[in-house]
Amino acid sequence: MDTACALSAKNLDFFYGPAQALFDVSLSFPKHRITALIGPSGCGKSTFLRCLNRMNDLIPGARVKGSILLDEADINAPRMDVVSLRRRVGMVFQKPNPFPKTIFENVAYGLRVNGARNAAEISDAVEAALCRAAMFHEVKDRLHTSALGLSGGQQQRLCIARALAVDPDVLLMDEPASALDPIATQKIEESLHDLKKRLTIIIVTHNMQQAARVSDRTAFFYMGRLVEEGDTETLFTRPTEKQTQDYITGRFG
Amino acid sequence: MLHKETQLQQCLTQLRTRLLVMSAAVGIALDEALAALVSGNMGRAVAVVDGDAAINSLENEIDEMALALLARHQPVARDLRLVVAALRMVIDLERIGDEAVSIAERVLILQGKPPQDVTLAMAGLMRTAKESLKTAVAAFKDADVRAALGIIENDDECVQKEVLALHRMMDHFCTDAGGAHNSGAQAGMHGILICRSLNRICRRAANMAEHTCFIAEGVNIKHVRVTTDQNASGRGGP
Repeated sequence: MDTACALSAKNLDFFYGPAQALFDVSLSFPKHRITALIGPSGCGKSTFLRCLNRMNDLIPGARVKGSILLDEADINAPRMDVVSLRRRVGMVFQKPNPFPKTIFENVAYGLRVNGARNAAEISDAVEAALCRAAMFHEVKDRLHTSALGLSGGQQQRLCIARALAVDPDVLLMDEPASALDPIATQKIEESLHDLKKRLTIIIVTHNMQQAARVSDRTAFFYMGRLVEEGDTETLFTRPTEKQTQDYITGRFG
Repeated sequence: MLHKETQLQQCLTQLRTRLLVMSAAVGIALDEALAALVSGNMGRAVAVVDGDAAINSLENEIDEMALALLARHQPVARDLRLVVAALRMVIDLERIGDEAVSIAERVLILQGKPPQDVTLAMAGLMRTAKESLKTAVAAFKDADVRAALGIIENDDECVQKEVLALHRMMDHFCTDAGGAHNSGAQAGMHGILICRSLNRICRRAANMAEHTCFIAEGVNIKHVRVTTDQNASGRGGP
């Protein structure tokens, strides 16, 4: 694997039972860069994203061929510890899904699962994660109130803080702002800009403008295949493939 | 896979159409200004001066259309390139319109009587300017990169014709400068300024050709020496 890459998929095929969803996808994710995965619904981008931390393991009949390398280790190898993998490759979903606990406990949850016991250390880590998700100042006076009382945008940033608390190398985001208003979306996009200094981000989005705004690299998927990937500015100004051109200019999809 | 024209595509078509309307208006202004110069018809010259307001309002209209398109649709790829090129192209077209007005005004200053040898001296340059604009507009209309590059490659032709025209003008200036009321000197000076206008028109047409290449290929060729052969091996992206 390229040492400048945080994650690297090679010749990846993925099947839901007999139906093949991904075909021979090879894609590397440079460290400290945001990569956007775009494409029409059903093109395989979310399936591919979930392959990157083995979230598809939970689906009956799902199977994967090819390799995904994280620090030269194949994440699909039998000896791979999935809990440890998901600590290193965190995930934020489309719909905010805070636990029915306090704001503090939501962020501390992953730390405790990973064995943290020292209260001061946990408290520091919670504050740091909330700061990195750009919401500490909004919630610092109500850390011990229910997370369910937060607005949708705050809940989503809390989920980002929860993922960040365990200090992952890679953060996977599956349409993280699709249910949020423009202000909440802007706050998340701004926080991504700062977060990439510490980790690698891979984001699935249906919002072309969001992909163009936040990502350094963009990969276009169509019908389970990777059609084109490259520098975001180039892809959105002069794509090489006609399918990419037609999709990003709204001529199909 | 492809569907009916989206709202974005309709707006882009409108933008392109208005650009072509403006191109036609500017082309007519140039033709009329040069016809007024050659024929000494002051009425035609006045019409060119008066017609400039319509060209200016087309510039404003296209500017507003392009801004609205960017704000409302956030176009990308080739669509974005068309909008950006349109914003640049209207400036070139408006300036060509201004040069046509400048030529028409000189016809009026000379009371519709520019000496025939002055107009003859710049006949080649007039043809080149008209031809450059016509080809640049056609290349944009047909997305013809090869034709656009042809204009850029022929940049030297315009310079040579201007030099030739200026030499002839100087001859006229030297032989007739001492004539009654110094009319030869005055005509020569206006002739030189008209040559400058024609040269600028050729340059603006070359700019338009560059925009056409940018729309089609996504490559900025401003200030780069390119040939049609080089372009044939270009990236060829959509």
